[in-house]
Amino acid sequence: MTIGVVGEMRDGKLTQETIEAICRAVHVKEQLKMTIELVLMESRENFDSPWIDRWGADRVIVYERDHSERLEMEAKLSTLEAYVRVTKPLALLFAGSIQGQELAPRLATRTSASCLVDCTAVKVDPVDQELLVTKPIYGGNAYGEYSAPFPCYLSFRAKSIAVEVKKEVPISIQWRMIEKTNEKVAVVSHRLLSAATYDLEDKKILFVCGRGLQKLENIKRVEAIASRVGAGVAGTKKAIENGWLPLETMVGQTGKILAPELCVVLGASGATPFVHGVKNAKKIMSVNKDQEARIFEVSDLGSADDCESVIEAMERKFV
Amino acid sequence: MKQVLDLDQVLSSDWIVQENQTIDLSYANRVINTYDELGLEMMLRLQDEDPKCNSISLTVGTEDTESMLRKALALQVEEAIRIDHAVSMSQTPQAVARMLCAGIRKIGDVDLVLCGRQASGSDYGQTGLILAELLSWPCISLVTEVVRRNEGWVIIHQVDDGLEEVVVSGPVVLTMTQSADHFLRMATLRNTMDAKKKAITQWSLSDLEEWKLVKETAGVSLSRIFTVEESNDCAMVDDPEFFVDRMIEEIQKMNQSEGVSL
Repeated sequence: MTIGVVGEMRDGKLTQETIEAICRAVHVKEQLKMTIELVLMESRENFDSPWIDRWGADRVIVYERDHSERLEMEAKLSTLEAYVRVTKPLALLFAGSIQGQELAPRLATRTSASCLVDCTAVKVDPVDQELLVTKPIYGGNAYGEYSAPFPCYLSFRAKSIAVEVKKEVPISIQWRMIEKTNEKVAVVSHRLLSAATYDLEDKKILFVCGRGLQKLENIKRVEAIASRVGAGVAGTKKAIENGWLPLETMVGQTGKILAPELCVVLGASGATPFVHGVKNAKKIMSVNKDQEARIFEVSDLGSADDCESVIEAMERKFV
Repeated sequence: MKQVLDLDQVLSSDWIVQENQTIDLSYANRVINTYDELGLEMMLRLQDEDPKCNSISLTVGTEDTESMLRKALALQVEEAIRIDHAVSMSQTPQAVARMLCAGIRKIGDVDLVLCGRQASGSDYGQTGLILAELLSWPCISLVTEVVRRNEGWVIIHQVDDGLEEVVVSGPVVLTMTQSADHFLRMATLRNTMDAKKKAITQWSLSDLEEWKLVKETAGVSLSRIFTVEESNDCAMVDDPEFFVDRMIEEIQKMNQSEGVSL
């Protein structure tokens, strides 16, 4: 029996989301004796194998892609269909990335598997021998536990598991050819308009701007303070919708899930979907002039002052 | 489009799971799912740009979803169709996508399907993706913008690498996500009054001849609902200066452990 992990690489290295998916697979393996296969679609030029054996996979299957060509979604799906046909995995775990959340349901439909995305926990039902999967429902205000029959495809919410380094053991790396697509997708062209930055994930200090900041000028003031203390600046859904910050900086259930050491939340009410994006922070300090705001329920320190007063106080110290 | 409960109205203290594994949210208003509103607004913008573009709002639901469809009609959507079926928390996205697929095939000449990336409630985030598979159409997810040009649909969407522009020449399913300055427009009072008199097409599952032909896929089943108490003992401070001093202390503690000075 095999559990497959559909992984992703960035700059030749496994992404954090992929490592988290492997760690999930290790947890499942502890309950059901299975082999963990890490499935990648990468060119030989980009593939860097050091450290690939430290997370608990038993085998690595790399579908070789052309280094110079973009790999279309349809080609990825056809390749994974071929993998499923050959291996018949009991479960496939996808990286909790945008791509992973898209591949899982589409492949499940093609290969008649059950599927859940944005999951936060999984265990094996010892009686029915199926997976019991937890995911947020009602905008993250509650959780649902689902019975997922095999074969089952899952993708997990980023940072919902602490990664553990396993004992490094030599593992085999098997190269296969990527599947050719049947060209039914009529995608004429692609062009990257703005490149994502992964700075926010690496920042130890994060300032999150909410609607309570009221105007773009205040966001700029926060950005100036943040640059002085080496902090990242992110936004709530409302701040993004107002055009104050780019979409890629959105924090929350449908944005980034971040875990900085210190998170300073300015002018956010604390809607549950947003809280899911910051609750893993070691310390949360919040400002909202409504003393009853939900953000204080998850904060360590709060100020019910006007955001501008706090920004002014910060400027006196830092700018 | 999907009608959902307005969860912003629900108090933190009301998230209590009853013995029958439900949460009583009966007092919350029914609204159009936020991400579906973005799809509706995008469709209206395409219609503004090309008056020959026909617009249809399609939903799966009981009669109480008609207020949502009337809102769409008031915004000048040309036709509203309801597939009569009660959608519950136990309904899988596969089942809903099958019904939508059969409905779209019955409509016939459809070039573009816009739907929200996910709906608050079951939060599956899969229906649009499965629908595209069932239709054998491409799916572009997390779309922020779409326009029609000679070469096809020019779509801007979010990918792991950033924001990407894609051109698709044939029919396509798009799942919408939030972006700057995209809000559903308001209907005029006159159009709202007129929409009350407009007919809403209703199809039962037996009207959808193709429904049973759409491949059924394995589904998951909801076995338990639970909530998690996530509450910190938040210390409130009165003075902004004191708040900032505490923040500096925290930063200094972090920097000391790394040998960096502020």
